[in-house]
Amino acid sequence: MAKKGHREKRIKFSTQRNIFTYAILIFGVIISLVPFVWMISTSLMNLGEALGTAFFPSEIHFENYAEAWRRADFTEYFVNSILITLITLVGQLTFSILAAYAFARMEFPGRDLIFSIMLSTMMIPAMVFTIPNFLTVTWLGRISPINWINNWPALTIPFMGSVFSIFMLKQFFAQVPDELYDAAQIDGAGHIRFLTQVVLPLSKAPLMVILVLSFIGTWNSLAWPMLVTNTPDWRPISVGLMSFVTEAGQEINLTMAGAFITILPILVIYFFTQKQFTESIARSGLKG
Amino acid sequence: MKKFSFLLAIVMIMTLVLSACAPQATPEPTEEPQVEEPEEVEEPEEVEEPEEVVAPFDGVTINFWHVYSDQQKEDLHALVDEFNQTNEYGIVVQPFDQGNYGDIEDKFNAGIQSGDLPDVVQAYTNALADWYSVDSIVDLTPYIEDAEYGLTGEQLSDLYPHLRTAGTTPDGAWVAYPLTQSANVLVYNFTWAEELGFDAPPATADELREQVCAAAAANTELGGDFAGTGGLVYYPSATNWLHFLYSFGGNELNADGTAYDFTSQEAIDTTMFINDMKAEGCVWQTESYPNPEQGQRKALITMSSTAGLPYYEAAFEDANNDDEWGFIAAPGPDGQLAVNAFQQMLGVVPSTEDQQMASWLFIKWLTSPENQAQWVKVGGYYGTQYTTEALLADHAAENPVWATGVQLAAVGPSEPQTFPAWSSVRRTINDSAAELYNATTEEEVLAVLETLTQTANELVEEVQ
Repeated sequence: MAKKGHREKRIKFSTQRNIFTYAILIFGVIISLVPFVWMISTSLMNLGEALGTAFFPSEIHFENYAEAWRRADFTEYFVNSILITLITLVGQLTFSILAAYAFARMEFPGRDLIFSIMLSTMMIPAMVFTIPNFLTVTWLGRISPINWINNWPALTIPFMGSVFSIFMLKQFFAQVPDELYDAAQIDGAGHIRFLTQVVLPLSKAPLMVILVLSFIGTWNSLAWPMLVTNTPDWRPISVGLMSFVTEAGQEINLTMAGAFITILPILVIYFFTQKQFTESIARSGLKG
Repeated sequence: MKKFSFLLAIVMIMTLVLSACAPQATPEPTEEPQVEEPEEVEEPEEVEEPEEVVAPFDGVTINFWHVYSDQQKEDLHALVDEFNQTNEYGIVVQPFDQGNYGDIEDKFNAGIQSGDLPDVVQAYTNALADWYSVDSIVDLTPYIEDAEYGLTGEQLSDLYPHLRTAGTTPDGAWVAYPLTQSANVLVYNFTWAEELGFDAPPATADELREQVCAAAAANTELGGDFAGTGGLVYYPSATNWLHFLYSFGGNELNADGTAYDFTSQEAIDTTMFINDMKAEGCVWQTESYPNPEQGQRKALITMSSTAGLPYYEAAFEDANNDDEWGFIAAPGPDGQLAVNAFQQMLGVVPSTEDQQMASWLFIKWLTSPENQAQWVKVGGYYGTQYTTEALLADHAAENPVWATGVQLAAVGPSEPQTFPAWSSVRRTINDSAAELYNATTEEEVLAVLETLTQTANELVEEVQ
């Protein structure tokens, strides 16, 4: 009888705890979703309504999306963003993988010192690099056969060397057991083959994280592209969003329609990689 | 060997991918053509065809950085095309939109280091003054006063009086030339005021108080959502406080114009005027821009940039409100009218003498009354010359709300943007505006103004 009472108490306590947990989680979900819902809702309002305090549109204006696309010239910017992102991702993955592998599994003089110096640059705010990076790409543009300013090199090459990506991959590569390398060596494999056929297949999760984070960073970048471009030829999609911001104010409904168009590719990428992404976040202990 | 082949394959693939992505027709960066093109074009022409009359500045290319996007950009570029096709000098202007004013400042600051600067730049006056102090903007006086290419006395006197001061540094260098103007004004509901018994906009500060208090009382009677609304929506900011300060006859500098001084009696009176209205319940604040509230008759008067006209139109339309409304100037105690005028300024970057003169000739053409009128029609701003007003008569008839601001464009004044440290001082005024708004006695107001003055002059010392 006492046992039954104790079990009932435990079930009751467990149920209460679950209700409490779910309540907090639901609250968190609502807090996270409100800005997103607000963005979609505002994107469907007319300007007058969007300037007010209404949360939902009294009348749906799907035409805002067409107007935002046309006025912001998203067709051109979209293609630019895809090219810039692809080039950056390919370069960043290539250089990060090779550098991380070298730091994790190869012995060379000054390895730890170089890695420490590289890590210390993560502590410097990104804005501090703006002018030095600009001067560097300007100088490189003057001595190289193709223009850097107003062209893809200035928009992509400075971001191909990512300290964060190298650091993250190095941590994963270092965890690969030495026995695997020994076995690969017995089979006649060198570093490149071991990297491509053993290490990389085991590191899908961190690679996905880098892919998603770099994609988001590159896709959303605005200040740097504005600095190194003079014409729309290579400007990314985030510049298009600026079309709706004027000296006097913002066409908030069109800005939100444009913002939704802009984040669609990020949502698609995240949809396809969320399993590896969350798995990798869990394994690496990274927190948002 | 296998390793080498593999590496080689990767490098080749990367090269192919990157090469394939190269743009087919990437324009030249801004700087390079400026120097190279004139030399390349001019020399052979002079040698091979000496009999031909070569236009002055023939082949000079001017890079022009501006802030306009969307339709405004297209219209401005069309004007530039017209200049390129019709100018008798052979000057070619290449316009580039460079984002907003902040983007231009970032880009220009970086360009000062790298040398990648345009020839003509649109920027805030204080930015142009700052760049002038580091020799990155030229004094336009010799070009404006040039006997052959400058402005005539008549043209100079056609310019609104406050604009020369607005673009001139304390040491007399004319560094910023106005393309157009906008202003912080009072947005006034004529129809509602008439219903409240006021046939004309307020001509003095007392009349303004009377009108906004009457509107507040009317809305208090209505109750519900309208309770506590109806008067003047005042957001304590540098722009709004200075606007009223000007109407009270005050300014930001001491009597001889050598230092900041916010402790004048006019500054105290301005603050007390606003705060007294607040105490009477005639002034209130909204969470965001007050356009919707004005459209809903929750405010008789709000304060806004004239460039905010489309947003007010949208608000009135959304509220199905057919009231007649428009722009008025803030009236002072003795009837002095003032707005807080802002200009869309242009500056010329140092280069060769020809390049600088060509830059000025482009600015002169772009701001001539005829072209200014054309640009004002599409840009929505206001002109900078009396002659432009006359050319816009038809446009004013078609746009009655915009027309209410035409007369205000000449009123001014403008903030002392070329005075040292103005950007920082302005931020300090913004910080102090809320303190001023919350002060209840003249002593409290004076204490805030004294601190503000001291901070402002310390900021000047820091930059000198």
